[in-house]
Amino acid sequence: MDVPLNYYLALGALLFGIGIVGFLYRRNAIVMFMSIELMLNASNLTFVAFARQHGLNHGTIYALFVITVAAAEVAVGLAIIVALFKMKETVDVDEFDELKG
Amino acid sequence: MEYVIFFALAAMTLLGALNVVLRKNPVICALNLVLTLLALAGLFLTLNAEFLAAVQIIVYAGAIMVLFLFVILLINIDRELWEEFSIFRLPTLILGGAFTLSLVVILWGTQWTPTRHASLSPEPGSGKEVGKLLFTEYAFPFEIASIILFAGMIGAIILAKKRRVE
Repeated sequence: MDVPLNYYLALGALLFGIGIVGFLYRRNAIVMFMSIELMLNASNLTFVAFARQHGLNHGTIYALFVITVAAAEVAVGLAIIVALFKMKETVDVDEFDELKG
Repeated sequence: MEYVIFFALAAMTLLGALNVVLRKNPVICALNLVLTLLALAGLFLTLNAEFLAAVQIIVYAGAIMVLFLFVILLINIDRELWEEFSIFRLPTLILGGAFTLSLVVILWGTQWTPTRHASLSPEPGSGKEVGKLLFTEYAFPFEIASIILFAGMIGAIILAKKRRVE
């Protein structure tokens, strides 16, 4: 029969956790951004798994909107990273400490 | 048989995700993210969400990741930024691992009661069924999403263009 819901949720949780650890540990701004996309995809998987569980398509539509907003966010975020790189020639987030102290 | 497909796709997803987070070269991270997105599209197909699987491949793997790769190739030439393992970052790993573990255990262990609604059409996740909901009940968020994309476009152009010397 169908693979039960728990499997999909556990996979989504694992992906989310990997995204979190990647975001907090890495210093390259682009790789941090990719970890954010990983977290968004984990939540999409959860949405779609519950959509199948309930037999309704509302979860699918939410996931569709998440993909849309992620597209806009990636455009703006990468533009910011490019502007920062033009300023400082690096994408190491530890180097951007103008506001420190 | 469904379990075999699920475990194959899940393994692909997890390996891709780990490689995104653990590799030194950002181009390899981006390519592994594409692999993860494709495996997730396969998982969406096993969950009967065909329209979303196609949208994921076209938009996420086909447009967003191409944008990532463009920016990586523009930026990271000859500079490989590698974080040496520092003991100060160990609490991050421990807390992150503990959080993930607790989330997985909780979600794996609950009994989710299936609340299947009787309105199961022959093709639940197809474009037709998604369209029925999207253009009636979710028409307003749909229009707002177009405004969000417009705002993203304007923002990206303004942030990336050359400053005119006044």
